[in-house]
Amino acid sequence: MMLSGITLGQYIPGRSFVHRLDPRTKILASAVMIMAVLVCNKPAGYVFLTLGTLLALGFAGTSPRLLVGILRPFWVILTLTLVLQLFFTPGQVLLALGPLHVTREGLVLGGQILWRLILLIVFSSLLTLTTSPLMLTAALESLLKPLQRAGVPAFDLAMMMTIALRFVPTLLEEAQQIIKAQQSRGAVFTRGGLLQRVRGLVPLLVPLFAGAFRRAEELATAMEIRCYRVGANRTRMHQLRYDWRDYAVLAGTGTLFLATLALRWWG
Amino acid sequence: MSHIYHLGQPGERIALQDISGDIRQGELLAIIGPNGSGKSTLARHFNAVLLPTRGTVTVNGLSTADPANRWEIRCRVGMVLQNPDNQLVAAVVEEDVAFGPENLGLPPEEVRRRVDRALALAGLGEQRLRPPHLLSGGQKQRLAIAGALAMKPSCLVLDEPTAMLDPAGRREVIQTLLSLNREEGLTIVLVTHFMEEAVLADRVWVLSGGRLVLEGTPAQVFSHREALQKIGLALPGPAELAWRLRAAGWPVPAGILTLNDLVACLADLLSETGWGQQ
Amino acid sequence: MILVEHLTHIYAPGTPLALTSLEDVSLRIEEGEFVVLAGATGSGKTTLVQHFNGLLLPTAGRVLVDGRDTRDKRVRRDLWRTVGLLFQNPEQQLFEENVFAEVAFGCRNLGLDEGTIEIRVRRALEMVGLEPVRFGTLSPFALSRGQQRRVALAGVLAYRPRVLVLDEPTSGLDPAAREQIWQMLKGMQQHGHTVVVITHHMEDAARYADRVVVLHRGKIYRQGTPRQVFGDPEGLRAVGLDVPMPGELMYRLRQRGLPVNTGILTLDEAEAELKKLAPSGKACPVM
Ligand SMILES: Nc1ncnc2c1ncn2[C@@H]1O[C@H](COP(=O)(O)OP(=O)(O)OP(=O)(O)O)[C@@H](O)[C@H]1O
Ligand SMILES: Nc1ncnc2c1ncn2[C@@H]1O[C@H](COP(=O)(O)OP(=O)(O)OP(=O)(O)O)[C@@H](O)[C@H]1O
Ligand SMILES: [Mg+2]
Ligand SMILES: [Mg+2]
Repeated sequence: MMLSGITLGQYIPGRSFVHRLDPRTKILASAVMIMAVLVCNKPAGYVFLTLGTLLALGFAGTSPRLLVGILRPFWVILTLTLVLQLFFTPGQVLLALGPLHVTREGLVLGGQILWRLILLIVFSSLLTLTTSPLMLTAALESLLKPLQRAGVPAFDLAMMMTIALRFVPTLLEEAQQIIKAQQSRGAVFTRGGLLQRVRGLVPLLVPLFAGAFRRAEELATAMEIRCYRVGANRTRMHQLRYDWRDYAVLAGTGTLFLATLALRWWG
Repeated sequence: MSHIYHLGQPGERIALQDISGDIRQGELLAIIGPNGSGKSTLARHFNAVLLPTRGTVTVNGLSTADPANRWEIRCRVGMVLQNPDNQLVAAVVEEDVAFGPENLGLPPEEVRRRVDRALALAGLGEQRLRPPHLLSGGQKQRLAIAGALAMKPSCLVLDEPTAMLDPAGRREVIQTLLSLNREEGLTIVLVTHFMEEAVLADRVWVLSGGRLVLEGTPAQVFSHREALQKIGLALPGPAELAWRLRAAGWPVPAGILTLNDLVACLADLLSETGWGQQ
Repeated sequence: MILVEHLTHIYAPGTPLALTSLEDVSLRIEEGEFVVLAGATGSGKTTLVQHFNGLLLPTAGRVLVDGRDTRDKRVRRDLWRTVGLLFQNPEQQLFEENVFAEVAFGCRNLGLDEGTIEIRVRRALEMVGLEPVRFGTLSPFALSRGQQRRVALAGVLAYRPRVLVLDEPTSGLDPAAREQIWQMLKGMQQHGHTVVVITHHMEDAARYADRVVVLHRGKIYRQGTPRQVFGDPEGLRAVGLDVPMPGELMYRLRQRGLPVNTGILTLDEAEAELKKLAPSGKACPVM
């Protein structure tokens, strides 16, 4: 509730360094960083990547509070991953809790996976947090231009992706709205055990799906009445242009990626 | 521009029946009617969001039924829907307004210019970089208007654009529409529940139960007090007061619709005759 | 009844989107009172009333309903029984498959039996001017917007909360329905309900409110009886509001040098005041 309005995939307008980067740069840089996270397997690599992440967060003007907000929806998955790795990796026993053993290897592996997941979440969120969906479409279109020339309907794919992306916050909003509406007339969502709570969500699902379809239809109408048509030539208010910042960021992430790669092979 | 109707929209229930009429280039047409009388349904026919079940709607000679015409029609006829939430397409106010002009394929500088102008006209300058879904109800309504204005249509259809605005905002929006209509020749179709707004139109259509029951200049339409009241409408405040005074035997002329009319008439009447000077 | 003390509300605090929508608002709403909240677009009306039933919680300050703090989870859980809230947009409130189920939702959660529910739903639909037989089985989403608003309102009325908090219940309604809703609310007040209504219709506010509270940029700007609040046209215009048309008329006639009373709020009062100027003994002047 505290961060209502700031949800997964939500864009937060701003004027930070990262906000002003060319969206294509952001897509490419995020992709490169995600690859770097995936190939990384050395402590030094993690240090590099973490520093890089902190730098990016700093340049995006992200407050620690917002960071917590981004990670919060994932806490179940994150904890579960850590616990599973801790207890179920064979190796040198550090701590025995009855039949369960925490192993040294488990601690290392669990920590690594946890950290990777966090970095991945932060990176993908940073992209959507600092880039408006329409700019993302523009960037995707531009990056996919070679494909379009080859006859793939890349532009429409890009628009579809944007709408899908835009739809995540819309759906969450719809869910929140139905919860609000039901709560204000006496539905209870937060009483009883887990099972009861889950069962309490069922009356939410039917209107949520109905609502999602309605919203989709409304969005289509809204776009059409403003002359949107599939396959038409759109222009952009914001022109995409690379400048020195973009080259610097691309060079930086590229180096980071090569460094983690080098560490993996020779480190 | 002409629209010719003769239509009936389905959905088990008939929402519109046998409506015929035309909207002339450059006029300001107000559509009034009780809840559920079919105003929104009718408005949605004007730019092919809905298609007639029977009959035809034509815009500049183009039939809305022909899919080939639709894009062209929508570029000419802008539309502000009744529910502002339904019209948000982008994640930033400014981009939302730019969406239309971008679809028209205009050059970036022109898009920028139109966006700035539309935001200024709608009084949303301060909100330009905020996410639309976090605006207040009235702010969203202004955004919807800005989005339509930025496309510079030759006809603008607005479905209760002022329902959630404060009195000053309402006056501002109506003033803006009036000046666009008078100075730039924008044809406007205004659906409204504010009789005070309908009075400013060149012509008024009154819908009831899906039928066009009255049509004419505001003075003509608002001379049918009983008929309007029977279907759930009312006279605008000043006209109602004038009617009551006339009913009490005051020599108040017919055709008083606005506050200005009433003030002028009463001031003349009362000072000339020395009434009230006891 | 409802006590608001130094309420400040910030949306999305700690993020770049942070926005202070209410600042140090203190307000007291008495049992059985009819309060109208007015204010320009974005002045914080909706934010304020959503605190009354615990949908929003204060960033600072507190809100007490019947002396109980809304920050307490247990208090909040039962708050809906006391405070019924109508959302500003009907779409925000409607979710059921048909109108009957929609209106019955609150009654179901009260645990009433089917017979009582049916009676209450029918009664509520009649109160908002919808024929139960005709509309009961329709989907709320296949209605006109004005009809949707009425269904949403019926959904709140049906379970009979002691306090009615209504966010623009009459916007988008036709004149007859508007009148009917205001009359009905006045009736509810006479039956002991407390009524809080947000509206942009100054004439209606003047006619029905015991007290008008004007918000401006998240703060209380004016409050008092309609006569007090609407007695200051300049002050109201400065914050995007206006005085009712009859008041404006008298004000302008006065400016033209006619000896009329300017403290006029309703059409009936204006009519009476004007008629005073023409003593019935005198013959009507002919134009
Ligand atoms: N999606 C729909 N499916 C079926 N019937 C509908 C739908 N939308 C509206 N109707 C019905 O069509 C009729 C006309 O609705 P419309 O929305 O045009 O009314 P309106 O004059 O705009 O009313 P309001 O003043 O309340 O906005 C109403 O009886 C309504 O119940
Ligand atoms: N969910 C939200 N997140 C962030 N800001 C919001 C949110 N809802 C409203 N606001 C902002 O808070 C301020 C007050 O909004 P609120 O909805 O309370 O205004 P209002 O007085 O009800 O206006 P209206 O008459 O237009 O409905 C506005 O500036 C609005 O943009
Ligand atoms: Mg309508
Ligand atoms: Mg509001």
